[in-house]
Formats: sequence, C-alpha cells, structure tokens
Amino acid sequence: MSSARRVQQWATMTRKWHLYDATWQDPYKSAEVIVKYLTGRNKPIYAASNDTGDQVVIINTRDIALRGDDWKYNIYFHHTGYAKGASYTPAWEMHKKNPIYIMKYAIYTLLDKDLRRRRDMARLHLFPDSNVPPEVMSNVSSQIPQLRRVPKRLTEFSEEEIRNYPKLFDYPKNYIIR
Amino acid sequence: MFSKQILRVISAELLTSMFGNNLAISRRCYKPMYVAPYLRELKRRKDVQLKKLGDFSTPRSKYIEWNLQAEIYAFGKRLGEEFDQELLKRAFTHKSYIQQELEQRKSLGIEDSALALEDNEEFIKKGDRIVSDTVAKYIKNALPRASTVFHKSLETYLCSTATLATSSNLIGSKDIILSNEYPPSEELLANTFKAIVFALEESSGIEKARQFVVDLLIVQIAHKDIYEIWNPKNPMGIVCEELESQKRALPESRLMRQTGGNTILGVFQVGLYSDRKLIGQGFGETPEIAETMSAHDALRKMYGLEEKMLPLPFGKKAERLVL
Repeated sequence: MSSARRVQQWATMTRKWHLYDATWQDPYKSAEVIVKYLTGRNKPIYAASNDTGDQVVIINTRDIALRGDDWKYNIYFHHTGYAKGASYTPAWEMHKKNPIYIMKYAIYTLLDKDLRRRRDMARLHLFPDSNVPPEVMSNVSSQIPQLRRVPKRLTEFSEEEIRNYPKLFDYPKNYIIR
Repeated sequence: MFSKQILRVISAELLTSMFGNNLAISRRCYKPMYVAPYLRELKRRKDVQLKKLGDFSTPRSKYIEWNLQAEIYAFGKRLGEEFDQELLKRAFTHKSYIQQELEQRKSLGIEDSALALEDNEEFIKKGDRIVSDTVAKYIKNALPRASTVFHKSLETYLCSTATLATSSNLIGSKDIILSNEYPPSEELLANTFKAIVFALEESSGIEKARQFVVDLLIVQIAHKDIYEIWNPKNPMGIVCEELESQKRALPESRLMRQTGGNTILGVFQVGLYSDRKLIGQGFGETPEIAETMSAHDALRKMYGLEEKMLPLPFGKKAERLVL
C-alpha cells in the first residue's frame, strides 16, 4: 500500500473523540444520540462486524434534567441475589450517591444487548462536572450539539439587563406591589 | 457417498476472528471436504518433482507442431501490425542462439559454418533509442506541469528492464525467442522488445513504431498512481525549491485538525501554507508524518498528479503527443 493510501485509510478508520455537555439535558434523549456515536452508526463506513465506534466524553452529568416528577418517582431496582437483597432507590438518591450513574445507565440500556455493548461502554467517559483530566481533554476533537437550549434563569440576569429588558408596560412609580 | 458429504461453511464470524476486525466479508465459501486435501496432495507431488529435477520447463518450440514461420506471421497479425517477416525473425534471433547452432554443427561434424541467420544486436541498440525517445516525448507532452526530475524518474521506470520484460512477455515473445537460455531472462525479453520496435520501424515506419511503444509499453502506467512511482524522499525540500523558483513565500505548516493525540490511534491533519494560502494538506499518525504527506500533496497539486487527475491519453489522443 502506498503511503498516501495508508494515511487515507488511517484517517478514514480513525476513532474520533467527541465532547457532550449534559447540562440541562434529558439523559434518555441524549442517550439516543450518544449511542449512535459510540456504535459508529454516525459514519457511512459502518458495518456490524467492523469496529468503527467513536469515543464520547460527557461532562456536567451532575446537572442533567429529568422530566416532571421523575426525580422522585423513577426507581432503580437492584437485587443482590441473596435473601432480602432487593433495594429500590429513587433517582434523586441515586444521583446524590453517584452523579454519573443515571446518564451511564441510560446509555447502557439503550445499546444493543450483545457482546459489543461492553466494548462500546468502555469508550464512554463520564464526568460529573467540567473537570476533565488533561490527557482525556487533549484527545477531544469535536462537540456533539446539545439537544435543548440551556435556559437562563432569572437569578442569572444582571440588574442592568433586567432594567434594559424591553417591556410592553410598567407599573406606575407610586404603585405599591402587594 | 453423497450423504457423507459435509459442506464446510466458513462463516464470516470465524474468518473475522482469524483475521481480526480489519476485514469486512460479505461472501461465504462452500467447498466439499475433498478439495483441500486434493490440492494439498498435488502441491506435495509438485514439490517432490521440483526438488528431484529442479525447476524444469520445456519451451513450446520443443513440442511437436511448431512452425516458426507461422508463429512469426501470427505474432505480427495478432498485434495488428505489418512486419517484414525476415526483419521480425532477425529481431527474435539472439547472438547466443547463433553460437549455439554453430557449436551444434561443429559437434556434428558440419564444418560449413555459414548460417543464414543474423543476430539482433544492432536492432536492440536502435530499438532502445526509439523506445527511450518515444517515452520521453510522451511523458513530457502528457504531463507538462511536472518537473524534469519527475519526468526522468518516470522514464527510468518505463525504460527499465523489468517493465520492458513485462510488455514483452504479455505480447507473447517468450515462446518465439531464439536463444540458448530458457526460460528467457528479463534482460533477454527486454532486448527482444527493443529489437521488435526497430523491426517495426523498418517495416512500417517510425509513426507505427512510436504508437507501438505507447500502446504496449507506456500503457503499463495507465492504471497506476504515477506519483507513487517517483515517491521523492524529501518532498518538503522540493516544495521549497519550487516555490523559490516561482518567487513565492516559503512554506509554513500548521496543524489543522487532530483527534486522539494521546492515544495510539491518533490522527493529525497538517496544512502547508505559502503566504497564508493553502497549497497542500495531509493526514498522518503523527504530526511529522502528516507534515510530510502535506508536502507530497502540495507537489501533487503543483504537478497535476493528484489521484483525481485525468487518465493518461492513449489511442488517438496519444498520436499527437509522440510525433
């Protein structure tokens, strides 16, 4: 193989590193996108027997958002196998103990239940905040766009911004708000 | 018998586990059980024979029903050329054959050593000139943007013994060659080709001879990546020289993209810029390799030798080039 062909082959079959910011994102919807990158289905060279999957680094998993009452009513069941070994952990408690778990498990359950699952999971790197080790961050070359816009909360607006914000009408100056 | 026949199916999964995940297989092969042992036995017998008797092979001329005149006539017609039969026969006759014949006659006691055969030494020399001249003209006219260094290296490749021998073999001169050695060496085949070219020039004219060289020798690079035939060892140096001669700024390389730099599967893309304009880009396992490849890419672009270049002209398009 000529050197030009060799490097072209190398570049085509390379494993890319993607970054995903999970702030305010739904872990289950995000998992659908991330699984595509992990399995390699985002590439036209995908084949089931080939290993074309990419690496994904997820940051800020502590700031994920579940819908409605899910934090309270989503239950993670676990049984140790021994008698009286059943445990039912609500999502908020699980998240408190392990801020990575919910995102990781969402992706794990969405992957195909075959021998490639463990391999693809090994290419997933989760971090509860934006502190990523430099040796991992230096590999990252692309970002997976977030699925939903991160809203700006009222407390995050500065006073000047609130003052200058366009208004349709305003209370009169001597009006007392009760 | 047939009920015992078990088809051995080599599944894609098994082959993948043998060859790793580098192979994407889409076909399964069904072979009866006796095929492999049969082939193995044939090979074993052949190896035994070769070991005992050495690499032997008889030339076609030693078998019955060999008509040299008919063969030479057919040779010319097969190539669609008008050859003078005597000239063509002389082109195939090598010195060693004549010497062999004389020695045989001496051993048989025939002292009259006037053989009505002439060797092809002169033909080879003159044919060599035609071949190298045609090749040089073709390359210069077909690749005008490339440098003379590249032209020379391509000429050397095309006029090399190996390339000439391949052409010679493929047109079927192997069986007709009159020489003392069999199978004919590459040098012998190459020389025969040159002699044939000269014989054609004498028979049909220089135009036909030139077209012959284009159609049967130069065509060997038609499907090849001709830049790879050259493959310069110091592409960056050559790029600098070229830019200097064009009075352009010297090249600067910049890292364009990279992924997985800390891993063993990292990829780097380096771009080569001259006065902030991109002249070439390349990928590589390390930034150094990528830089070298970007220099190669820059050279390709300068000389018009990219992988997407138009195919080399042959047939009618080539007639204008070599005359």
